[in-house]
Amino acid sequence: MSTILEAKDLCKSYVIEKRQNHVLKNVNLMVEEGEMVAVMGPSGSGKSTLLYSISGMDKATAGTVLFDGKEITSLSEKEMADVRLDDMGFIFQQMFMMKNLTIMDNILLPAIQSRKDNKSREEKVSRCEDLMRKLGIIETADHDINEVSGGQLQRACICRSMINNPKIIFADEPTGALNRTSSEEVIDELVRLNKEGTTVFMVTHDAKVAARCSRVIYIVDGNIQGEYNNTDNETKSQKEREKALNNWLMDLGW
Amino acid sequence: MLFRILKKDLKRKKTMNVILLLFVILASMFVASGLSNVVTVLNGTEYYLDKAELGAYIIFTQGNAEDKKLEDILDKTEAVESYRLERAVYCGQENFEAKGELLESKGSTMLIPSGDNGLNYFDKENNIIGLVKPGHVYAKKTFLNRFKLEVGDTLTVKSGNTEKNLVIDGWFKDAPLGSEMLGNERFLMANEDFDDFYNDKEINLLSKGKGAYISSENEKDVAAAIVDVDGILFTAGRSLIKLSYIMSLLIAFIVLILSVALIIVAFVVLRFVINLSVTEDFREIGVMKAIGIRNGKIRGIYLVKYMAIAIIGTIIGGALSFPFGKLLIASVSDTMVLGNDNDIMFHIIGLVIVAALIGLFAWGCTRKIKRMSPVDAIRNGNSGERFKKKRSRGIRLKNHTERFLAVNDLLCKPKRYMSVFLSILICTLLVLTIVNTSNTMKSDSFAYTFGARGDLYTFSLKVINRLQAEGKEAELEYIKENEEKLAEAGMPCVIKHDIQYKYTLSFEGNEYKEGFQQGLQAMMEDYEFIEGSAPQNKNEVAITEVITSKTGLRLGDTFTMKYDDHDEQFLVTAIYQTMNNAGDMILMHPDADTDFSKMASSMMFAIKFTDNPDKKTIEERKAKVAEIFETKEKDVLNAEEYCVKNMGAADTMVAVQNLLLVITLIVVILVTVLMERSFMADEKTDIALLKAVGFKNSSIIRWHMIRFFICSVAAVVVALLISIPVTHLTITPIFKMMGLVSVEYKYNPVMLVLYPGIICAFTVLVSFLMAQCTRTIKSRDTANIE
Repeated sequence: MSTILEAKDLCKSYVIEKRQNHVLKNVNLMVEEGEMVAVMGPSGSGKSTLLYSISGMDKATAGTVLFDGKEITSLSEKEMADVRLDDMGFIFQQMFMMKNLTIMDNILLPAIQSRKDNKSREEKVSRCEDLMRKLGIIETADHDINEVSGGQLQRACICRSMINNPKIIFADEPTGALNRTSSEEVIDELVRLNKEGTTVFMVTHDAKVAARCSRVIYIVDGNIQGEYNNTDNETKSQKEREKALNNWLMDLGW
Repeated sequence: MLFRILKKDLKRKKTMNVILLLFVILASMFVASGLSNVVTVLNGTEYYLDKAELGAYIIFTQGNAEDKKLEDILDKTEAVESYRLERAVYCGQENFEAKGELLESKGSTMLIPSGDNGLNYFDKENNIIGLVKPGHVYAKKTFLNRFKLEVGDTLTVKSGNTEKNLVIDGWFKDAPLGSEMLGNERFLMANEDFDDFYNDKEINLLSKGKGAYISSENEKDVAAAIVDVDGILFTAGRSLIKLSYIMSLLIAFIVLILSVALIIVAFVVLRFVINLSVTEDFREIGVMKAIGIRNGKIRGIYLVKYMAIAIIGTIIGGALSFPFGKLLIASVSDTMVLGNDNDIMFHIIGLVIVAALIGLFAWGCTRKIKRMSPVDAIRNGNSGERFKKKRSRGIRLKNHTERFLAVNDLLCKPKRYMSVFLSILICTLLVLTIVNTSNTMKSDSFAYTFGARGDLYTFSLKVINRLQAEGKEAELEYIKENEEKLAEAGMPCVIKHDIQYKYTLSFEGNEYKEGFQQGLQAMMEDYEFIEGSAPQNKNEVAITEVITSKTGLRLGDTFTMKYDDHDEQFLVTAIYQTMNNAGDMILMHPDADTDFSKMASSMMFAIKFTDNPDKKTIEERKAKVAEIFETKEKDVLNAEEYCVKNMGAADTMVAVQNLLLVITLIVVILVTVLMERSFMADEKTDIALLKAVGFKNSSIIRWHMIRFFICSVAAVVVALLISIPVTHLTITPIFKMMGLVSVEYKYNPVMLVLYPGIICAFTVLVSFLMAQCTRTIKSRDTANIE
C-alpha cells in the first residue's frame, strides 16, 4: 500500500476579534491507500478544520499536504478545483445539493463537468444509474431534492462523491443529520466503497461509525492525541469493536 | 426582545438589507422625480406661456402707418381684456455680422427691446431677463449654434444708418417664436440700442412693426376682430403657439415615458427583493415559530424592518430625486421653461406612494410567514410534503453544465428572472421607440408635408425679397430661367416653389384670416391627400383637419375668399396633411389667383430632376445648383436634410436618444448589479457546493453570466418585435397633433440591432463583473452555511 495523503506540520490559524486562534498545531499524519480513517474529538477540537485543510478546500496557514504524491498546498485555486473534481469526493453533514436540480442531475453534474476520461454522456449516465442502483436510490432519480428522505439524500451525496471514481472520499460527519437507520445505511455504503478500494477520510462524533473504520485519530485542541488501529479487530463483532474503541477513547478523556 | 432580534437581523443580513435599501432609494428617486416630471410635461406649454405672460392671441404687424388702426381695433374689441405692445424692427440677411462674416439668417428676423415689457423672456437658467445692458444682446440658441457663436462674442447689427457692435450675453427662451416650428430669429437688446434702430429714418417703414400680446377668454372673437388690420404678418392663438411646441413636448414626453418606465422597473425589482429577503429568512421564521412566537409578532418584526428601510430609503431617495428630476427635464427644455408650481408637493406625494407600496409589498410578502412552519427551519425551507415539480422536464443535462444550470434556473424560477427581463424589456422598448421616431424624423418621410417634392431644396433670402417686390410673374420667369440653366448643365428639372399667403375667408357668416399654401409649378401628386380628390381647378382647395376644427369647413363646403378688389367662391374637394403652420393651412391649386403682396412666407425652391438621378449624382449636383441660385452649397439640401431642417427637433431627438440610452444603461447596470448581488446572497450554498465538488471560478461566473445573457437577449428580442407597433401606438397620436394623420415610419436596421446589442453587451459585461464576487465564496464556506 502506498501513501495517498500526508500532512506535514500542518497549521491553521484564524483571527477572531483581533486574536490569533490556533486551530491546528503542527499536525502530522499519513493516510494509506484503501484506508478508512475516522477523526474524532470534542467539539471545537479542530476536526472539521483538519478535514478542510487536508482536502485543500481551505488554505493551511503553514505546513504541507501531499495528495497522491503531489503537494496540494502549493496548487493554484484552478488546479485545486481540478483535483477536487477528478480525484476527490466530498460528503457533507448537511447533504448540500443544488436546489433546482433533480437527484440524478445533482449526481451527474460533476461527471459532466469533468474532462478526466473522455467518456460519453451516455457512459456517465450509465455509471450514475449503476451507483444509484447500488445505493438503492434509483427510483428517486427524477425526484426533486425535497421529495426524498434524509437517508436517501445522503446516499445521493455519496453517489455524487463517487461519480468521478475519486481516489479518496472526504466525509464531514456524514451521519450527523440522520436517524439511526439511515446512519447505518449510509455507513454501510461507505464501508462497502472502502472495501472496493476507495480511501475514506471522515470526521465523526459517533463511536459506532468510527468503530467501522480501519483507523481512528483522536484530536484535541488542534493536536493529535492518539491513533487507534482497528485492523486487528476485523474478526471481532461490531459490538466488541465499539467497546474496544470506547475504552480507548475513555483513556484519552472522551 | 423583538427589537433585539430585529437589530441582529439588520446586522447579520447586511448584504440583503443594503440591497433592499438601495432599491428603495432608487424607487424613491425615480417615482418622486417621475411624478413631478409627469405633471411638468403634461402642463408644459401652459406653464411656460403663463410664465411668459403670453395671453390668448398674438399678432405681428409690419409697417407703422396702420399702427393706430391695430390699437383702435384692439381697444374696441370687447373680447380683448388687455394687450401689450412690443415694438420690432425687421431685418434681412445682410444685417448681421460676426467674426468678420455675414450671418445669413433665414426667414424674417426681428430686433426687440427689453424695455417695452412685452413679454417675459428667460435665460438658459430660466430666470426672467430684465433689462439688457446697453451694448449687449441675447439671441436664440439655434442662431448661436448655427453660426458657432458663444457668450462674449460680438454681433454686429447694421440697418439703415445705424450700426451696433453688441456683446452676446447668452441665449434666451422666446415663448411666441421660440419653437422649432415657428422659429423666427429674434434679438433682445437694450431699449436704448433698439431706439436707435427704430428711430432711424433710413430704415424703411415696412421694416418696422409691432407685436401685440392679447389677453382674452375668446380666441375666436379676437381672430375675427383683427381681420381688418392691415400689415398683419403673423397671427396665432395660444392653441397654435402651444401646438408649435409639439416637438419640444414630443421630447419632453419621452422623459414622461422614461419616468413611467423607471417607476415600473423600480417597483418590479423592489417587490422581488422584498419577496426574496422574506423567503431567505425561512429558518429564522421556522425557529421563531418553533419556540412559540405568534405569526402576528413575527410578521411585525419584518414589517418594522421594511418600514425602517423604507423610511431611510425614501428620505435619501427623496433628496436625490430633485437633482435627478431636474437633470432629466433640463435635457429637453432648451426652448421652454418647464416646471410646475407644486414641485415639492409632487415629490412628497411620490415618496409617500413609495413608502406605502413598500408597506403593501411587505404586507403581501409576509403573508407567507403564516405558511412557514418549524419544519422549514429543519428541512431548509422545504417541508418535504410539497410534491410540486419545480424543474421543467424539457431539458436534460448534456455536455455544458454552466449552460444547463443557467437554463434550468430560468425554467425553475421564471418569476425571479422576470424582474430582470421586464426591466431590460421596458428600457429597450423605450430606446427603440425613440430610435424609430428619430430615424423617421431624420428621413425624407415628411418632405411632402412642407410643400412640393423635390430632389434638392434651396433658398436665397435676397432672391425672395427681390421676387416678392417684383411679383409672381417675375418669380415664374426666374424659375424658368433657372430650369434652363440647369438643363444646359445637364440637369433637366422642374423647379417648384411653395408660397404661403394670408387671406381672409368667410364661411357661415364668420371671417377668418388663414394661411394659404400654393405651389408654383407644383403637381397635386406632390401633396398627401387623406380624403376626397385633389383640387383640379383654380377654385378648388384642400384643407387640413386643423382648419376643419377651427372653421367648421368640411369636404364639399364652399367658402368665400376675400381678395382686395373682389370675392370668389372656393370649393373644398380634399383633406390633406401638412406640417406647415402646425397644420393650420389651406392648399390652393397652382392656377388659383394669388398676390405676392399677401405673401406671409415661402418654403425653399424644390428642384425635381426629370432624369431620375441616383443619390450620389444628386449630391454632386448641389454645387451647380448653389451657383445658379446664387447661394452657398451648404444651403442646398437634399430631401433628408430638408426634413431635418424643417422638423427642427431631429437633432435634439438624436441627443435625447443618446441620453436615453445612457440612462437605460445606468438602469440596466443598477438592476444587474443589485439582482446579481441578491442571487449571490441566495445561492451562496450552491456556489460553495459547486466549488467543493470541483467547479472552477470561471464555470461559476459563466453560469451566472449566461442567465443574464438569456434574459437580456430574450428581452431585447421581444422589445424589437413589439417596438414597431408600440412606436405606431405612442408616437402617431403626437404626429397627429402636428397635422400628420398618416406617418410612414422609417426603420434603420443598423440602429435596431446596434442599440439592443449595446444594452445586451452591457448587461452581460456587468453580470460578468458582478459575478467576479462569487470568487469570494469558497468551498470551505460549506462548513459555515447554516
